[in-house]
Amino acid sequence: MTDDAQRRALEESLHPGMGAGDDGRGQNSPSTSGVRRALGTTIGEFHGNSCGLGEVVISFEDVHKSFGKNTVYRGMNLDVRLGETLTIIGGSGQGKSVCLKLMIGLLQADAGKVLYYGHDVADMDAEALRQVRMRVSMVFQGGALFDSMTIGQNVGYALREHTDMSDAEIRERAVESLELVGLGPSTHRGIMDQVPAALSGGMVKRVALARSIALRPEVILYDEPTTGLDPSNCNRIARMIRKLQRELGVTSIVVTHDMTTAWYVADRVAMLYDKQFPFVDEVEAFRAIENPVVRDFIEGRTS
Amino acid sequence: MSDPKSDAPPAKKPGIRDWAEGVGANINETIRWCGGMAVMFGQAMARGPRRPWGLFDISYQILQLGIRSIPVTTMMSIFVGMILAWQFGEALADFGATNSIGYVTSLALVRELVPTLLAVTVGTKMATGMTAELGSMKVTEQIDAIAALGADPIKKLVWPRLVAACVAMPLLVAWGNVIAMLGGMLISEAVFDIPAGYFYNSYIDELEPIHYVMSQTKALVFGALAGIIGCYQGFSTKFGTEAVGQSTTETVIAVSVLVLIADFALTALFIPI
Repeated sequence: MTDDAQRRALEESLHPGMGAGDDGRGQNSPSTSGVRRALGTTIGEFHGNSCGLGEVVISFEDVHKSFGKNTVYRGMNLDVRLGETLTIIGGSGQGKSVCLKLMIGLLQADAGKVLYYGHDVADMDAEALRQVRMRVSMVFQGGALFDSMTIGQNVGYALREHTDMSDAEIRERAVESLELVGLGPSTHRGIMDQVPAALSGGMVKRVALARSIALRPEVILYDEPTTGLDPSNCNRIARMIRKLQRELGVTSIVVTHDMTTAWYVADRVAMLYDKQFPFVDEVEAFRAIENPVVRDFIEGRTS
Repeated sequence: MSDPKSDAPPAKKPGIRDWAEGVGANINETIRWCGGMAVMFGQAMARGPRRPWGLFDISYQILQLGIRSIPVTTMMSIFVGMILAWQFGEALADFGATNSIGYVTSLALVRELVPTLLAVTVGTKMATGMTAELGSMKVTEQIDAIAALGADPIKKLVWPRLVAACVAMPLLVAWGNVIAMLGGMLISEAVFDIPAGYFYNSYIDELEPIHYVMSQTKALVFGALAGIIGCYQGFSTKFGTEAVGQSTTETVIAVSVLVLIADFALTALFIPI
């Protein structure tokens, strides 16, 4: 399952850019580096702070969050390292998605800090938050594609919002992003001008993925990417998450309760239990955890 | 803490205490609601009038809210004009003063009935449309998605609708005033034998510039109310499709009630004792 060769390839593709501190990544993947440089979503640097591969890029410090009487987090701590794929598992309705929304400031913690490169997301002004949201993009559970726009406009939305690219350029970038998720016009004729309502569930998720990578983000947050899909589509999405990590060098955080996907995509696994993340470890070590709570969950037993 | 026991007394009747608690909670909720709406209005006014202007979105909304409402506006106005002329004519006939029908109808229509009636019908229609659309976007996380892509939902969604409602409503009221007058002319000619031309002359004669200003000011305020209530209700929709229906229903009530309250306030402002 865990593909060591793949991971080594990833690290090699990332290291030159990281180590030398220049934008040498360009030589490895010319299709993406130009975009990154143009958009300013370079990996490992933000507002003067830099972060090496494997160092903590996003961290939660003693975060408390509740909705009315429903407490979601109590003294929660979690670190996300640059370049890794962290999978967050846990039962439905416990608020796994909430931590994704905390990371990009869609929700605010009641207490504690959510740090991105050491900056507290809650203290950021609108401009800093905009920059964070360009660099950390989220793939929503239901896709959340804009119904009133075509697929091409959906995928190009962020580019239209944040760059002064011409319509032709935006379209070109949108095609490029769609090709990366295997939905390019070369194989799916006319997809650019279709509306979201005309697509199947799996395609909606892939288009949502394409939309979130249009800006070549540094971190991608996946909110239940495989929920509600058939096994072959689950598989396809899981492989796509791996592929994007490999080709774009992104850090991924995947919230899921589908263990097959979790094992396949993850470098590390974190389990939400009792409003915290008491179990966080590398995949192999996590599988070996003897705690009955973890065993019951990953083996699907009802206790 | 009370433990539920089998021999506990039967469910107590709703007493005065519960009632008082309910009243408190309701008042609290209403104040919160007003506050939330005021905050959204403030945000829209602060972030809206900046580059990029989003003229395409605004004109699209004006088309949606304004042009699409012309048929219903026309129908409402012609009937209210005809009905009011008939009612006044009937009353004036008792004094043998039917020839002053134009004078009396003009003030009631232009200052009061056309703006208010259009606000509670067309304004509510606009507001519910916004609530349903934005509410659906909210429950499918599309509003979060706009924010997550680094854009501002207030600027992208609320501002164009608010501006469009503020532009469309006065235009519709102006159109409605003309149509209502035509309805009055029709009835005065057909029912009370007052020539339409005379009705027209007396109607216009009675109106002063301040009355047009009053009519348009009311329209502007009602348009803004419809716009902000529609958007706020959409944005504050809870989870699930059922919630969309619920907040849409609340929008109807909120717009109707607030329009009448605002109408009272504006009338008191323009016609001091």
